[in-house]
Amino acid sequence: MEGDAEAVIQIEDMVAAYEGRVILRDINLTVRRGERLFIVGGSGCGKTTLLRHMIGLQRPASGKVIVLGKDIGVGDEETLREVHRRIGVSFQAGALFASLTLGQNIALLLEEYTDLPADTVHRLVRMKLSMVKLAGYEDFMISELSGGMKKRAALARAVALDPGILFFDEPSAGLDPVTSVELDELILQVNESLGTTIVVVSHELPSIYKVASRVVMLDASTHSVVAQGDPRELREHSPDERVRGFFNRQPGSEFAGRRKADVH
Amino acid sequence: MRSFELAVEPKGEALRMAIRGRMEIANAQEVLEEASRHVQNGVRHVQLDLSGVEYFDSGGGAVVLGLRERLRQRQADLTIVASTPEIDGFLSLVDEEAVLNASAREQGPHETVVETAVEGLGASVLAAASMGRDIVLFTGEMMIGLADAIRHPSKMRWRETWLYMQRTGVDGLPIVSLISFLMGLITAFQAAVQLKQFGADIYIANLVGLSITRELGPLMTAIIAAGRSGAAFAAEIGTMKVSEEVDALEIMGLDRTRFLVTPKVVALLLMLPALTVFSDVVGLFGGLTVARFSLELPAQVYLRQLQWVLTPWDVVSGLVKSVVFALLVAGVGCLWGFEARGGAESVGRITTAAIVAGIFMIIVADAVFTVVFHYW
Repeated sequence: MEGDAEAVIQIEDMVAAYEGRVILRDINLTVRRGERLFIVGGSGCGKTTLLRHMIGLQRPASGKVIVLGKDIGVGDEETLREVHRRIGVSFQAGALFASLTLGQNIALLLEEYTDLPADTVHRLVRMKLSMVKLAGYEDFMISELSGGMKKRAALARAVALDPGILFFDEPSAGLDPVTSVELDELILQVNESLGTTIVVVSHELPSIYKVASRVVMLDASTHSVVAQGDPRELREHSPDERVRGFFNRQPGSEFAGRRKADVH
Repeated sequence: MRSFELAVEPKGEALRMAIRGRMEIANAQEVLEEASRHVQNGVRHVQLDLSGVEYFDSGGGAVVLGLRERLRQRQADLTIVASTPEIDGFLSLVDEEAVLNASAREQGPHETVVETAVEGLGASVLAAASMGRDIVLFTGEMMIGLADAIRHPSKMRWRETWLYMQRTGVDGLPIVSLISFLMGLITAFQAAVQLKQFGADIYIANLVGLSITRELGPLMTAIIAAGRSGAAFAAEIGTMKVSEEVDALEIMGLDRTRFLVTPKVVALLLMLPALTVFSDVVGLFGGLTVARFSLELPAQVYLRQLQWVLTPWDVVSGLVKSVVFALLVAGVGCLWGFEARGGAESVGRITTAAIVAGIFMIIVADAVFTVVFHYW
C-alpha cells in the first residue's frame, strides 16, 4: 500500500557538507506516507546528518530536500516554521526542558500554536501522556523521570500537534532491553493507529527488524546510500557482502565503527 | 461554511448525537461547546455517532474526553455507537480512565513526605552544616593545590593557566578601564563641588588618590572579576558536573583540583593584582580629567600633589587586598560549580549564587581589611 502512497519526503541529489568536508553525497530518497523508514549504518556514516537535513536543522550544500511539499533546503524561515509545525522530533537525549514540568513541556506547543482554553489544553496534555502510558505524571519535573520515561515523554511532546511525520534519533540508546521493546511497540502503535510516517535513525538490529518497513543504509567510505529495502530481505539476499554482514551482526563488516575523524 | 455539522435526536433519557465533517484542534472548542449545549438536564445517556467524521485528530479526542467529563459531572454517560477505523485507532491509544483520573502524585506511587516545622528546621541545619563542611574541605583542597603548584611548578597545567590568564586578565581590560575611569571621574566630580566652596581645590588629588588606590580600585576590579570570571568558572565547572565530566576525571584517578581549580585560581591570583594596578592608574587619570577641566587645576599640580600624598603602602595595601579577593572570587566560583546537580537550570542557579556569594565575600573581606589596616 505504501508503494502508491503520497511522498512526504523527497530528497534529490543531496550533498551534505560541514566546513567544506563532504559528509553525504548523491542522496536520493523518497519516503511515502505511512512508511516506517530506518536510517542505518555504522558510527560516523552520516545518519544523524541526514536526519538533521530532513528536519531542516541543516541545509544541504546542493540538491533538494522537500518535506510535506516544501523545499526546506532553500525555503525561508516562514516555510521552515510551517514544516516544523507539521513534524515531530524526538531527540536522542530527549531534549525536554528541565525547568518545566512534564505537562508544561507538552502544553508549551499547544499554547504557542493554538488558542485553546486552559482546560482543553490540560485535557490534551493528559491525553498525549496517556498515549505513552504516562497519564498522571504531568506535575513531575523532568529530573524526577527515569530514562525510559523521558524517552516516552519526548515521544508525547513530539506528537503534541498530531504531526504527519515523526523523526527519532537513536530512540533506544541507553535503554534496557525491556523498555526498548516497549518503546518500539509504542512507535508501531502510533504508526498503525494514527497513520503517522516514521523516520528513525538507529543501529539497534532488534528494533530495525521489529519496526522498520524499509531501511536505508549509509556507508562512511562512499558517503552515500549503499543499500535500501526490507531489512530481512537485505540480510538474506543482498548482493553486497558487507550489507549482509551488518544485518547478521558480523564483526569486521566494513560498516562497523568508523570514527568521525576518519571521514574525509 | 462550518467545518462540522452536529445533529441530535432525543429519545427520552437518551440522546443520539451525530457529528459530521472535521474534528480537529482548530475547531475542538467550538464542537465541544455546541455538543455540551445540546445535552439537556434530564439526559442520562448520550450515544455518539462519529461515522460521518472525515478528519479526526487530537482535537477530536479532546472533544470526546471533554464531553465524557462534563456528562460524568451530571451523572450521565457517553457511548460511541459508530465511528471510523481511524477514530478507533486513535482512541485505542488513549487510556480514557487514566486521563480522567487523579494525577500519579496524588495516587501515591511517589508519595510526598510531609515535613513538620521541626523536621524542616533540622533539614535546613543539616544542609547548612553539609555546605559548611564542603566549604572547609574545598578550601583545604584549594590550598593544598596551590602549595603543590608552588612546590612542583612543572606539574602545573600551564596551558590552561595561560588561557584563563588571558580570559580573566587581558579580556577584562576594556571593562575594567571604563569603569575605573568613570569611578575616578565621579569621585573627583562629587569632591570638586564641595572642595570648591572652601577654595581647597588642590585636595582633590588627595581624595581621589587615596580612595582609588586604597578602596575603589581593588574593590571595583574584584567585583568585575566576580561578575566575569567567578561566574564563568562556576558555569564551566557546573556544566562539566552535570554532564558527568567531573565524575569521569575522578574515576580516571585524576585530581579534580589540579585539573579544574588550580589553573583558574593561579590565573586570577596573577591577573587580579595586575588589573588592580591598571585600574588605579586609569582611575587617577579620571580624577585628573575633572581637576583639569572642571577645577582648571594644571596637570602638574595634580600629579605633584598625588606624589606628595600617596605612599607606597597605599598601593601595596590595595594589592594585598586584591590577592585575597582573587582567592575568594576564584574559590567561590569553583566551589559553587561543584555544587551543580541535575541539568541546565541548576547551572544557572549556581552561577547566580557564585556571583552573589563572591561579591558578598569581597565586601566582608574589605570591611575586615579596613579595620585591620586602621589599627595596624
